[in-house]
Amino acid sequence: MGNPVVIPTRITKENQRFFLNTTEIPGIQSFRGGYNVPYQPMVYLGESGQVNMLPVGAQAGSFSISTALISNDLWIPLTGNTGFNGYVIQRRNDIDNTFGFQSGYLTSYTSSYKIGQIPTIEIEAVAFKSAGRISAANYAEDFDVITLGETAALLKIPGPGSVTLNLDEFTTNRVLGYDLSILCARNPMYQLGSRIPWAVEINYPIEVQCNFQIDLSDYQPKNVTDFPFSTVTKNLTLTVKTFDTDAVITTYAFNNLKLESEQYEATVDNSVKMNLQYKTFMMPE
Amino acid sequence: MLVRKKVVIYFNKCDVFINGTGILASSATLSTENAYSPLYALGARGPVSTAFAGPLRTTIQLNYLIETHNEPVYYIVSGLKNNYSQLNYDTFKIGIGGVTGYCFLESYSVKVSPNEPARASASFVSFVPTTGALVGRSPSVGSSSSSTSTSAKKYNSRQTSGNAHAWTTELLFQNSAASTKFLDFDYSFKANWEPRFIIGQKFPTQVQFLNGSETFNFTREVYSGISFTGMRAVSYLNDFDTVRLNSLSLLNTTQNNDILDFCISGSIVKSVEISASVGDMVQINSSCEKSH
Repeated sequence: MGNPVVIPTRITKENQRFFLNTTEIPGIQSFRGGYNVPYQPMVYLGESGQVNMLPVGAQAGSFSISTALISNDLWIPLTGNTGFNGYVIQRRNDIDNTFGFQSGYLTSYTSSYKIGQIPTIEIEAVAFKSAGRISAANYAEDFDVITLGETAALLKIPGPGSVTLNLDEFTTNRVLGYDLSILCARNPMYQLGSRIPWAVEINYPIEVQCNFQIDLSDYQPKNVTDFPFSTVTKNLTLTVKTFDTDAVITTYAFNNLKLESEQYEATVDNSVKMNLQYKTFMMPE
Repeated sequence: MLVRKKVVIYFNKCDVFINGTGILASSATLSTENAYSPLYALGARGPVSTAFAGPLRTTIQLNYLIETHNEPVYYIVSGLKNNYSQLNYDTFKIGIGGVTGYCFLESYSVKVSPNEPARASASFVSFVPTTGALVGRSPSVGSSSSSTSTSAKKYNSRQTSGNAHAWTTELLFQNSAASTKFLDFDYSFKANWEPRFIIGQKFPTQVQFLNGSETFNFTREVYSGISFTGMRAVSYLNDFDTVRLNSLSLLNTTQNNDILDFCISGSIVKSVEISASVGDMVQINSSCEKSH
């Protein structure tokens, strides 16, 4: 008999649980991220031998998360000034092997839906306090709650027919899908004597962009020369509900979205479609 | 046909030193100006000769990263500030790639910006001819030996742990942590020198230090106006008197004996400026000055 084959252990999805602060998020599809150390080679006149690396620039991590919109949209409130922590842990009682970030700030939020799919949310964030392995000693406050145990939550699942959209004269059944994105660039402010910013501000204005694909029937496209004096402005209300009870999972409402682009699409194997792009910019009150 | 390798002195063979101490220079320039003007006279269409219009003047400009245990210009400035009443000053030997100038410090500046290593620039002036030749690595840097490997060690003996950095910059009041915070700091020292000539000699017999001035510039996010003429910087900047540059090694240890202090005591607030621009926070720039 030969030697037994040693199978290396692997970490699979059942052991990758994502927590937003202390709350486990259901429906996470992917979590990607990490950090790059901001080093530059220290090169100088007369240098010889080993080149040393000098820290130049801010230390930060970047993360992207994709999730199905289930139960609740905890991400949309984070498009404001609120920071958050995120952890991927293997087990609630094994938090010493946690990969994640602290003092994260959301930089982009995209909610997407196409007929036949569950609505999804994709976010991107930057983290200013720490990124990478986070041991229990780093942040006992969140981990104290995470390790308390399971709280069985009833999942609220949206269905294909449970998205309602009101874009003034458009009717829901003509819209085939949407992408709603909110871009909120961040401006971290650093002081001398610290690696961590003392404040993180939103780089206003926040850009909100809505893309729709509609089946054409009596829709009348515009012409590029209609702008800027005949600008099309719409108010949007979009609601995602559960498939069974019609309970509201999340609602988006934006006013004064301006039409920025129309793309006409005629092909041999499908009906004529129009891709519409609306955009608005938001400042704080 | 291959391009043949030329014999050139590349930057890694170009040592830069100040009084025998190697510095981490990112750039260095040495320029000599021979001041003259054409001499015109009646009766001649062109100049009849050239007339000397000033002394031979060599300027050396250095830009470099600061090492707290190895910062010669900081101590040159300290020497000038502490002994400014004396009449005769020694020159400092500045070398670039084997060419040496015997110089006086004309200006020195230090800049610390968030998340960046501290950087300095120094400008020297000389009134006598340079010596040496551009020959590449000089054996005089750091060692009397002609070994190139030995001479190179002097430059960066502590690797990056010796570098001054914004992360390890402290603000102090009476040697304790100050309550105020700054977004940016830069310091400059300027010295005025006057060469004294006597008839019959090509070069000055004496170069006199006339005066000097220090300028401290701070950026912060809180505004307060200047209350009265001659307001002291210490009280204006909210009980703060010293910017201390520590080496990066302070991140790993609480003990750090290599420090560079920039003390604003005795300086006067010269100007305060509010600066607002789209996409950024409103910043307040304060400038304080001390004369010597």
